[in-house]
Formats: sequence, C-alpha cells, structure tokens
Amino acid sequence: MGENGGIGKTLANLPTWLYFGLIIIAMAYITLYPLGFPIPISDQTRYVYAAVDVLETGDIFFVNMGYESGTIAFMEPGMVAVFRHAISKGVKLVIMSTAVESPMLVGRLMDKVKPEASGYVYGEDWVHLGFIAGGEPSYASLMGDINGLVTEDYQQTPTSDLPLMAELGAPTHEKIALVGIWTAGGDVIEGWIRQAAVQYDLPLITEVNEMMVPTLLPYYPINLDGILNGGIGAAEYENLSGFAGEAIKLSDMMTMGGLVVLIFLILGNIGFLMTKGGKK
Amino acid sequence: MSQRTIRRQIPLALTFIVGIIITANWFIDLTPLNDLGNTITNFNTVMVAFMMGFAGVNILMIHTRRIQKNMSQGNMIDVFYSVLLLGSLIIWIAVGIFMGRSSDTYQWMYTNFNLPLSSTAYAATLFYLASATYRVIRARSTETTILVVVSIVVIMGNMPMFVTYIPALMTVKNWLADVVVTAAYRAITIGVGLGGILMGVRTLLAMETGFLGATED
Repeated sequence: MGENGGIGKTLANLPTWLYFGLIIIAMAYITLYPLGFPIPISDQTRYVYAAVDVLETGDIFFVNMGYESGTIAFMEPGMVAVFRHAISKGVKLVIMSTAVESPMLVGRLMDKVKPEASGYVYGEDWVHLGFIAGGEPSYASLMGDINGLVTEDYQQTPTSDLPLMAELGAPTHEKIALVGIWTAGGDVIEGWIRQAAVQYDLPLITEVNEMMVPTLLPYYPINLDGILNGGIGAAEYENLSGFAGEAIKLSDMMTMGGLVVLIFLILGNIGFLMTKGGKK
Repeated sequence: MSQRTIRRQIPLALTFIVGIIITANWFIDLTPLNDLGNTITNFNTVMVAFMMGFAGVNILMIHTRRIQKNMSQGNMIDVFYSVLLLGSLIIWIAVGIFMGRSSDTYQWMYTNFNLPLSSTAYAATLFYLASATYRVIRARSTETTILVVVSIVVIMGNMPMFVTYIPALMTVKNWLADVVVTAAYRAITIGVGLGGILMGVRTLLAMETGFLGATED
C-alpha cells in the first residue's frame, strides 16, 4: 500500500475526537474574534425584501410563526429583521402559531422588535393570536373568517375587543396584504401555498431551515414570492434592510461551521481516493 | 342498527358528504356553501385541539403501565425516565390550568428549561452533520463523485466568505437550485399531487377504507 496508503488511511479514518474538537475550537474562536466576512445578497432574499417593501401604511401582514426553540437561533433574527422593516413602513401585524411552543417565543421576539418604540399599540397595530390547531383546514378557516375561528387572543382577551381583529372581518383574505411563514418544516408552507397563494392569490414569503429550501423551490417565485435561506438569509435581509441584528453577528459562525464541514468532506475524500488508488 | 352500519357505512357516508362540501367550497364561490365549508374546517380545528388533550391522557396511561412493568422487572432507570416525563407533564398542565398559559411562571418554566434544552440538542446536530458528511459522502462511484462535487459547490455557495471572492459560485449554486433541483422536485411534487388526487377520489368513493381501521370483513 505504501506511503500513500498510510496517509490516505489516516485521512480517511480521522478519530471522532479530532474533528469534534476542531469544531469546538473553530466555533469558540470565531465567537471571540469575529472576522466580519462580507455578506452578498441572494435573489431569494431580495424578493422577500421587495414583498415587504411594497407594503403601505395600514396594510395587514399576516404571520404564521411555526418554529420552536431548537431552531430559534436562525429563525428569530430573520423574523426580527422583517418585522422591523414592516413596522418602519407602518404595516400592521397579525401573528398566529402552528407550533405549540411558538406563542411562548413571541414575547422575546417583540422585546427585540420593540413595536411600541414606533408608536404601535397592541390590539390596534398588532395582535398575537397564539397557537391554532388543525393544520391546513385551519388556514382555510383563517382566510375565510378569522373571527369565526379565533374568539380570543393569546392573553385571552376576546377578539371582539381588539380593533385590528374587527378590521380583518370576513372574508379575511381580502384584508390581508402579505402572508409570512416562519417554520423549520416545509409541510406548513405547502398548506399556506394552497390556502392563501393559490386560492386567493396572496403574496407569500417564508424563512425556513436551510436544508428545507430545495423542497420549496418548485413553488418559487410563482406561488412563493421569496425565501429566506435560514440564518444566512436572515443575515442577508439584515444587510439589505439596514436593520443590523443578531444574524449578521452569527454569519461568521455559520461560515465557520460550513468551512469545518467542507474541510472534513475534502479530507475524507482525499484519504478515500488515496487508499483506493493504493489498492489498485 | 347493525354494527356494520355503525362502523362502516355511517363513517363512509360522512366522509363522502364532508369531502364533497369541502371540494365544492374550493371551486364554487357561493356564500352558504362557503359558510358551511368554514364551519366544517372550524370543527376540524376543534377536533385536533381535543385530540392533543387526548394524546396527553394516552401518554399518562402508557407510562403509568410502563412504570408498573419496569418496577416489577427492576428497571429503575426506565422507571426514572417515565416518572420524569409524567412529573413534567403534570407540572406543566397544572401551571397552565391554574396560573394561565400566559402567566409569568409558565413563561419562566419554558424559558429556563425547554428553551436551553431544545437549543442545545439542536446545536449538537452540527457535530453529527460534520461526522456524517465526513464518513458518508465519499466518491465511491460516478454518482457519488457528482454528489461530492455538488456538495462542495453548494456548501461553498452558502458561505458568504467564498461567494464574495468567487462570485461564480453563486451563479453555479443558483443554476443547480433553479434548474436541477427545481426540475427534480417539481416532478416529485406533481407525482405526489396526482397520487393525492387519486387517493382523495378513492376515499370519497369508499374504495379506500384504511382510515376506518381494522374491520371484520
């Protein structure tokens, strides 16, 4: 097998502790000493930005918050950036959740968005409806007559006491200017594509986990106006909108994480090919 | 009324009626029909919410039996896990019911237990991802060689550092996404859609009865 076989075998069979250790060191280093890599902006992110940017004061942005605590690191910064952009334009926000945990994340989200700083009043300019069970049939109900399905908000205030809910009325879809979905999974978005984009021709934007983006590409950009590609997409949106936040700070870490995976992918294959060559 | 009528014919008739109303509601813009469709979908939401509560009762029953069984067999570790699960379930339900789901205590419990645990578990996937990429994606054949090359391009295309200095990476990554991936996924999506239509028609016509569960005939 010779020398190539020896080096190849070593590269192809690196011990687990080595690459786990290197990942920890790389992530710790980049956290302590961020390098500030530049962030180019993709078309998918530009389309999300454009969909929010065309909204006018008083328009209603209907948001399905469908992520849970596991994916909060990259979903929340994207949501904060889009909300800040929407609020800067005077857009009203209606937030509901399709994940059981999501309502408990709205508080920390809005603490970062700070709608009150822009004069937003709860019930008039934004509402939080909490978790709504039922999957796709519930999206159909929400687009038909939201007040027929939802009778109280997350704080258990009757929706009849919330002026924004009265404004929505029935048919609800006629009052909505944009639908946004933040979720780690693709099935929720497909439901919304059918019930909002296809049925009522409503513009739809989303942020999903990076690995889910390929599953949504068949719908983009016809039924799905724009896609934020996980944490990278969030960083791009922050960069584009000028509302710098956590995603830009995290982008170095995401780059370093990708770099480590890439190095091991290349090393593993070099080792494999050298060993294979030695055998021949 | 015979058992067959109760177990098969009534559910099948209900499925047909509800299916026809919901399908017609999609295509026909008629206020009474739309209202009826909305009522049915609202009923679905209530049913799903009820089933989530039922799932909680189911967990309670399963783990109570499991604790009894494992105690008799001396598997104290498994007993501990089940007690932990049931204890957490009961505490969460009690706090939610008596103090309110939007109370500070409920939020505090979520922020200080659930949030860090879930985030840590998800963050740990980076290690498994790196490990799996290193061990599995190897150029063993022509197909896997293509996979390796595409993986390298996509990973680099997702990293701002590389895209900034090699703009062509973004072009190649976009071409892969817009042409190759979209074409493949559209084919799959259309296939799944056609399968869904077929399954829907078969269910409406009572040719697909798996959802009724096991039957004698």
